[in-house]
Amino acid sequence: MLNIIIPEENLINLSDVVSADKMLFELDENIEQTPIQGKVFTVNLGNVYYTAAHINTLKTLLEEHGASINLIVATSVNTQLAAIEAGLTVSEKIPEKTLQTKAENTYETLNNQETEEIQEPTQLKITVDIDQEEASQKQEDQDPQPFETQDIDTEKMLEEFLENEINKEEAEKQNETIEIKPVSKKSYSDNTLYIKQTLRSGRTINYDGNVFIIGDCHPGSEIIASGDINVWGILSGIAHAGSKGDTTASIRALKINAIQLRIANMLSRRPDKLLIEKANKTNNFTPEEAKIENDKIQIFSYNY
Amino acid sequence: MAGRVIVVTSGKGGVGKTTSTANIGTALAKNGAKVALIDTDIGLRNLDILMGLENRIVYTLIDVIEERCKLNQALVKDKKNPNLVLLAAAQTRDKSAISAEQMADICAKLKEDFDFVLVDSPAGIEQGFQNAIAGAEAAIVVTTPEMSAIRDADRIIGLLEAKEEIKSYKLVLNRVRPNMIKTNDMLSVEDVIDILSIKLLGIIPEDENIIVSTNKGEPIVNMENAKAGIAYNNVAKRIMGEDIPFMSMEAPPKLMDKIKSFFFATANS
Repeated sequence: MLNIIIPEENLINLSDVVSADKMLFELDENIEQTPIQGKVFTVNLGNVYYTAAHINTLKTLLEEHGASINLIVATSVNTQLAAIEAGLTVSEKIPEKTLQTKAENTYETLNNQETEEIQEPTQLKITVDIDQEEASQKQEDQDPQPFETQDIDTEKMLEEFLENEINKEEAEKQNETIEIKPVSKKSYSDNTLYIKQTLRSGRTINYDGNVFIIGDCHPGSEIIASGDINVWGILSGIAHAGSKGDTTASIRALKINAIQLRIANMLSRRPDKLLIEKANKTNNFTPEEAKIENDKIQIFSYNY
Repeated sequence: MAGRVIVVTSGKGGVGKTTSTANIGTALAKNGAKVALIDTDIGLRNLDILMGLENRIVYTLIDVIEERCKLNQALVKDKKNPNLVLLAAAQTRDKSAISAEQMADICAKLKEDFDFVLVDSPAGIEQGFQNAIAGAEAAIVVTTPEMSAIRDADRIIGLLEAKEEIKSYKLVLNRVRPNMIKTNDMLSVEDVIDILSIKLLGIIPEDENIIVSTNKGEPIVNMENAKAGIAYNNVAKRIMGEDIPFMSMEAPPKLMDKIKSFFFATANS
């Protein structure tokens, strides 16, 4: 049995575990030996790939014993993404607090620069190259598609708002903002989730920061970000930018064909009459940007 | 007001549960009833697309259950008929996100405000199906005249019989082709009823317009002169207690038959 729970440091070190199944087994055995009631742990997952299901199981297991997770440390990007999907905070390194106790014992000099770097564990940039080959394949597929231009109004408004819903959402959001301190743009400006993948129906991305997606977002997918949303492709799902109340957030895509656009506490939906279920995959997109202007969400063609 | 909760189910996928729910619901509302539709196919929702309400959904069934919104906030009004509302399923979750008790609770609440609560069930007999039938007191079993669909329907009827709360269950036979019945290539309505021994609620003829209606997001009962639309309207009227005779499933006589019968008629005289 590995000794993986270090209660003094509030750390669960799983970096020596080699597979996901082993992880749960070891953890289960350790929990029996070490009381963890009421503790908040940093979990170091090392370089092993865990799915969101694994991480959820881990979470549930700890919760059953009265403990919780405040940070996941993982070096595998897929694991990091899975942890984000499971709604946990992620870092690449063990934060300074836990590290320092170690550092004092082992390393004599830990120069200032390094500590500064470690002090920001949550500021994380993730690159996901899941199907790079497939993506490039798709690019090739798209190119020879028949060349068709679609007339885009330069200022196309996505119909009237659902007044009731907006008011309710607004009320809800206002309550939220009282509890959470108002978000300034600076807090997330350099925090971006980068995904190179097609988002299919049922996929949700919920991120505190900006979201950048290389690929299409199919209907039924949902992107929620406290910052901006950028889609290098056709945006057909639901996009919610500035989810924590930032009205200056915007949504950009090569083509906006979204069922609903939400910015901060505003909502607009695709007009019923507009039958653009299927956006043509041409190679002459005019990028579009949706933002709040005159208290409405409006779409502008994006050119400098 | 105490309405009725009716679950629309089939066992097999692709036989027309969602289409039937959308159309029967719309027809009931057209005939003056207050109707709520619930999509319980969490993760694979379609009812909103058939109703053309996809772009209006803000809150879903899951949001109601997890108390992120009130029940009436999540009810999406139909474009044409204010008496018709839809409670959509979440697309980003799965069937295990709700329990049968929670579903029964929601049905009970909706029953107070609506004459009919139609629950669209997912395919299969697992958790999703159990959730769908949880609050129901009546069931509509949808099947097509194919052995596989009938076998699955039989299994479903068995499960419905085992549940005490469900007092009545009736059959809607979908995608019937009179021409094929005539040439003995398809099981006839009588055959299906013999096999399943269940009361018939409606016969829906195969209709190409269904595809048009699905893609447009406009239930076929709103289309004029569509055969399937008329059939669904009759189903709704029967649910409301009217006595409507079943549609004749005899194919219109072909030209050759006419000529033949003319000759026989003259020969006999």
